[in-house]
Formats: sequence, structure tokens, C-alpha cells
Amino acid sequence: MPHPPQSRPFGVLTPLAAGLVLAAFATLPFWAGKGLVFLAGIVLVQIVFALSFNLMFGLTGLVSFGQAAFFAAGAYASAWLARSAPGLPFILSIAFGAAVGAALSFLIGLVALRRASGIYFAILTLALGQLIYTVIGKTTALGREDGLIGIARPVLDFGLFRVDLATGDRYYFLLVVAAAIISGALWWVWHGSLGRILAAIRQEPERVRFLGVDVRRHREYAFLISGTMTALAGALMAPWSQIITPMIAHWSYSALPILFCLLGGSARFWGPAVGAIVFAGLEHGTRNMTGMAELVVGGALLLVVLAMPGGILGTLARLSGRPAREGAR
Amino acid sequence: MLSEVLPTALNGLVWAMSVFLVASGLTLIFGILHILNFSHGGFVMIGAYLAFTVTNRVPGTASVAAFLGIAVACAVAVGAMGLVVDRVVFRRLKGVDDSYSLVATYALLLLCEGAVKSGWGGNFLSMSPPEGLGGALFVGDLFVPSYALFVIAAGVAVYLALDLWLHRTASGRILKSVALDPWMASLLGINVTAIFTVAVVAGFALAGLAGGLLAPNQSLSPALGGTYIIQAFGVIIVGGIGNVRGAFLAAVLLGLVDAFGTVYVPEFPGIFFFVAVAVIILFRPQGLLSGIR
Amino acid sequence: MSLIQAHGLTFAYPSVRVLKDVAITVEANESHVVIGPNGAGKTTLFKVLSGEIFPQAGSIRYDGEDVTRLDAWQRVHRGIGRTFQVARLFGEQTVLNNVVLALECRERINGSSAGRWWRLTPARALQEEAMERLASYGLDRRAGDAAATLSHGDKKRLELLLTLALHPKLIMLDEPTAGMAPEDRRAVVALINRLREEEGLTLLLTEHDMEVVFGLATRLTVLNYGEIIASGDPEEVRRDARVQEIYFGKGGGHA
Repeated sequence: MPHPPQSRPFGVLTPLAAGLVLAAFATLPFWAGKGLVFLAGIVLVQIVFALSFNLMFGLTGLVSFGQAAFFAAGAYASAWLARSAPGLPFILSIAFGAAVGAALSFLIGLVALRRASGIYFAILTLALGQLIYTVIGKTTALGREDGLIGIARPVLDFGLFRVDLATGDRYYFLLVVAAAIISGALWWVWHGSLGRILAAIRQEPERVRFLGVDVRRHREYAFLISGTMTALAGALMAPWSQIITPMIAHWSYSALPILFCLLGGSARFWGPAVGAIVFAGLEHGTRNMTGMAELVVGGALLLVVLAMPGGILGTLARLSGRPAREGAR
Repeated sequence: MLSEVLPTALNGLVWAMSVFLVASGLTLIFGILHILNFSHGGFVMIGAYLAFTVTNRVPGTASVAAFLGIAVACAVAVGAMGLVVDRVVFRRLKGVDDSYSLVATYALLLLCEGAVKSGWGGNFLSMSPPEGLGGALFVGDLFVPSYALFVIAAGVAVYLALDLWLHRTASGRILKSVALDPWMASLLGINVTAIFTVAVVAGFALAGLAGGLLAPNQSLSPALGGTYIIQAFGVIIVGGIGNVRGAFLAAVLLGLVDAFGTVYVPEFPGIFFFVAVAVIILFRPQGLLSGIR
Repeated sequence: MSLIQAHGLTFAYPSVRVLKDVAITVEANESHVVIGPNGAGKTTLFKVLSGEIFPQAGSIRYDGEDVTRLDAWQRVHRGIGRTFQVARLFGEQTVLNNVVLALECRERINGSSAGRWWRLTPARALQEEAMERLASYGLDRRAGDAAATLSHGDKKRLELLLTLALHPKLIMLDEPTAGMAPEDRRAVVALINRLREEEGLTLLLTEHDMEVVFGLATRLTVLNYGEIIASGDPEEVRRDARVQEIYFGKGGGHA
């Protein structure tokens, strides 16, 4: 996407805003109702999903339409393991979900990036994603079309004491902490030396190649990191929603992070998080009117794509007279 | 033996021609404008819902002639929507990255879904084929629904008409020259913007026509647009994107692969379509035929 | 000593053969210019020699090693650098960050880590080196500007600077003065001659401008319709009857 990756469009304002949003999420159960807390938990997962996706999309410039496959892989693998071996520590089932996502994204990235680019890459990932969707929906061990239901929220065993995440809003707080940690890790990748090379690959892959960098290998890294973190998001969601259906592998679910990235601004690290929150607001506000959510979201996306290509953050930065400039990284 | 193969082949061909009807306009627009229109299935869906409403509201529309007339009317209506979409959206997508216009037109698909949901609701609707296409024929032992034969005939007819238009008429040749090199065409005095509009309106009209023709024997739901477009993407990519002949061949190939695959591996119906699409992109990324034909 | 020895290079697109059995050698520390009319296959020859594309037939040895099947980035590791007709830079990044990125790539190639692995900003030493390199090309004043805002000539200089940051032995310059004003061209000629004489670099170039060609070539090769029709001392090549006929034949020294 055409704008420079940039983390601090407003200097000190970005960490401040990020801190405020984090505080809002962390204190939500004390001032909001149960329905909103549940929605906020989903949004936290979707933020991780979208930030992971944007590492490949906004930073590296790869448009994949099959990301939901990794989300579903993480969710299904961890839920399946937790149900099959109930005594297993929670962290192991989460790790298993991430590992399955990693293996899958490694394989798909290896094959797809070797053979396709641009629009072909988009359609190839779409086809492979739908393949996984179809397989999940027809596999008895994964509950076929009905999915897996009654996924338990785990008990964390610290030896000296145990924390039962099924009570109260404890699992929600775990989601807040996990989302903060994973976002921090992704932020570090985005801004570190790997991130710099990935951004360079988006802008001018041939130049990067002639700086002695194996471009395809680095695209594979981006795809792998993105897929693994996406699977992690899926694994975290399963105990929260307590039910997962094949819809989380469907291509329309793959379109969600693209939507978040473009709404918020894919050129900036926090853009997708802004997009996810705004999207949830739009959808929540229109939930009682049939079809209104699609009209509002579709209209907003079209407006953003045609009229404000930097997304919400890009437009805010432009309005505040601080156009994106790489020097401020 | 033959009695097992023939019904499967017939199913495959019906699928192939339905998807070709949807894919033809999609591949035409890509061939000329290089925009992969994610919303195309959405406009097919709108065509189908329009046909549903007209057929149910207007009395005396049960004949085959009325059915065809309604489908043509849907083509005109959706073609007019194409005029608006061209003005408002497509003209702003010139020269942007292919995958970026894919995302922009995905927003249009959402709008189509939203429009259908607010106009017709989210429930499944259905309409029956017109009188005269509701029955079945026996070809030997083979039981063939007349509507299935009709869909196959319609697919072939649309293909032949498009092929003739693109290859045998002056306007078709102008369209092809614009597709090959718009700049060169403009130097030769061709109004390229007008040709782009013609291509978009023609593509959208094909979507409306497909919607009108495919509305019967179909559960109409707001998810239909997405289902159509994914199948059509597979067909046009495999056929060689922008290539009408290729799309026709690919539709037949993928229809047969999927139909026979589903018979022999019934545990995973529908999976062979995606396997075939993935394998063909991997080993022949340019598709079966390349360039606009 | 020959740095590059290529034989039998053949490359064809579906409808045209662009290179037909081309043999070319590049000696160490020479300034070897390939000329030829438009469509003669110069850029394709460059792509094949740099590893951007693979030839359908033929072999390329670089520094005694067969590199025919090595990708461009692997050839870069062995000391080949390349610039493009239209400079390829990271336009959104600052001029400084363009150079820093090149230096980071060099450190990766050398296997030495550029600062601690967890650090977000590039090592201070690399930033300083980048500024020095920019200063020696007169680009330090623009260090904080986005590379996309540079003038055409400055872009080409920055691209050369990025290429040189990797300490290549051989650099391939595709039309290094294309689109430049005459005084800029003379500066580039002087710079390239200095690189060869003082830094011992080997150069392979394509060029259209005959003043530039004869200002820096120590060897001249003429490519026509994918075939080499003459190669050798620039003055001798200029006098070659076939070259005169097809290249200089129609009035003057421009292709």
C-alpha cells in the first residue's frame, strides 16, 4: 500500500493514545455491561488478528485473501487439543494452536510465494483458504458445519495457587494482557531491522534484491510471522467465544483484517487497531437494522479507499499538518 | 457404467455453464480495464432478486418468453448500475495496483449485500422455473430436468454471442485494441474512456442477465453474491484472466473435475474445485489461455 | 584476469529471441561499455549477467565460479552491484535511511551483526558512516528528505552510492547518465573514471551518449539484434566497417 510505515505520526501523542485505549480496555468490566465486555474481548482478538495481518499487508505489500485459514487453524487446533486432553496446561494448547498455524503458513507461504504474485497470489491464497474451510466443515473430529461448542475457559495452575479463568471477567483480563504483549512483539518486529527490510521490499523489491537480500525468503518470513500470530489470536479467541464454527475459516473472515487495515490506515502500525475498533463501533451501532452494517461498512470502506487512502490515521495526520515522513520513525 | 458417468457429467456441465454466465462479464471487464471486480457476484445476486420480485409481483409471467424478457430487463437494470459504478468507482481505480482495486470492489460487494438484506431481508427465497422448463426429459434412461438443459444452452449461447462480438465485429475489435494498448488506441482516435464504459456496462449487463437466468432453482440469500464470485474467480484465473474463451474452457473443466470429484470422494464435496484452482495457478499461473480473446 | 566470462548466452521471450549465442568477457579493472541500437538486447544482457533473469542456454563464470544459476542476490554476495536505467530507491524513506539500509545489508552479507539483535534503531556507527558517504557525494544536505523528492541526477547518484556501499568488485550501470544535463554527465564520467582508477573497480555499462561512451570506455562491445558484432579497443571498434555501417552509418554518433 502506498504510504510509508510510520509509528509515531504525532510524536508523543501515539503512545499516549495507545495507553489510553489500553486503559479503557483494561477497566471496561468496571464500567460497562456484560455484552460490551464480550464484544471488547472479540475486538481485542481482532486487533491482534489485524496487526499480525498488516505485517504482511501494509509493511511487506502482500495481499492475501486466505488469512482466516490461519486464524481457524489456531482456534480449532487449540480447542481440539484442550477438549481431547482436558488436564493439559492452557499454555500448551495455545502453543499448539500457534504451532499448527505456523506449520500451515510455512507450507502455504512456501508454495504460494514461489509461484504467484499480485492478483494471482490473492486468488491462490483465497482458494487455499477455502480449501481449508471446506475441509474443516466436513471433518467430524472438528464438529463439521456445527463447529466445536462448549469450549471451556481454562484454569491456570501456578503450582502454589490456581486461577480459574472461568469465573468473572478473568479470561477477559487475560485477553487484555495477551493482546498487549503480542502487539508489543509485533511492534518490535515492525520497527526493527527485519521490519525495515520488509518495508523496503514493499517499495522496491528489485533494489532490495540487488542489496544482496533474498526477497522471497523475507516475504516467506513475513507470511510465516503473520500466519503464526494470527493463529495465536485464533487460539486465544476459542475459550472466549466458547464456540467456534467453520465461518472463522471462510473467505469473508479473511476480508476482515483487510478492512480493518484500510479503515485505520495500513501504513501505520496502529492503523489496523483503530480500524478494528471503529468497525466494531459501526457494526454495534447498526446491529438492529438488517443490512445496515454492510451498507455502512461497505460505504465507509469505499470512501476510505477512494478518497482517503491513508485511512483514519493517515487522514488525521494530514489534517494535523504532520504528513507522513519517514524521518520521524 | 455410462449410466453413472452421464448424470455426473450433466451436473458438471450445469455447474460449468452457470458459473460461466457469472464469470463472462467479470473476465470481460478485467480484460479491458484490468480491474478484478469483487462485486460482480453481488450484481448477479441483485439481478436474481430483481427477477424474483418481478416474477412474483407481476401476474402472467410464468411463460418462458416472459422469463427471458425479465432476464433481459434485469440485464438492462444492472447494466445501468454499471454506468454509475463506472463513473463513481472504476474511473478512480485506473492505474492503481490490481490487488488494491480488488479491495475497493470488495467494498461494493458489501454494499450489494447490504442492499439485498435491507430490500429483501436475510431469509432464503426461491422461485420456480417458468412453465415449460419445470419438467424433465428422458434421454434414454437419463432423467434430465429441462431447466438444466436450458442453463447449458444459455451458457453456450452467451459464449457464442460474446465470442462473435469480440472477434467478428468492428466494435469487438475496437474493444480488443483498447485492451491491448489503451494509449495506442487513443492515438488512433478511439475514445478510450467511452470504450471502458461500454465494457463495464456490458460486463454488468451480463451479470444482470446471469442473475435473471439463474434465479430459479436457487436458494436466494444475501450470501449468494460471495458464493458466485469465488467460483467465478477460480474460473477466470484458470481460464487466463481476461480471456472469454479461456473462461468457457475453464468452467467446463472445473465443473467436470468438481462433479466427478464429489462422486468419487463424497466426504469432501466441493473441495476439488479449490484443489484444481490451486494446482492450476501453481503450475500454469498464466491460465489455460492468456490475453484477451 | 577475466572477472566475467560468459558463453553462448541465449534468451528468448515467447515471440522474440533477444540474445543469440552471446559471448562476452569483462576483464578486471576495465570499463567495458556495451552499446547498440534500441532493442539490441543490452538491457536483457544486463539482466542475464546480473542474475535478474536466467538465460535459456549458455554459462556465466564470475571470478572463476559458475554463477549461471545463482540468483541476483547471491551474485551480489560475490561482489556484483547493479544500477537501473530509472533509479530504484526507497522513495518513501529518507535519503539517510536508504543508505543505512544498504549498510545494514552489507553487514548481513558479511555476517557481522549491525548492533544488538533487539535494537530498534540502526547502529550508530552505520548512521555515521552513511552520513559520511552522503557528504562525499554532496548529498548530506538532503539526508532528511524523502528519496522520492530528489532530482533525477541526485537519484542516480544515490543509487550508485547504495550500490557502492556493499563494496562490490564489479558494478553494472545501465545508462548511468540517461536523462541528465551535460554538466551532470561530465561529473558522472569523472566519478566513474575515479572509481576505476583509484578504487580498482571493474565496470560494465550501457550508454547512449557517445561523448560519455568514449569518455570512459576502455573496451567497447557493440550489440545488434541480440548478437555481438564487434568488441575491443574503443577506437578500433569505432573504425570497424560493420559498426560504421549499422551504428554510425546514418549521420553521426547517436543511436
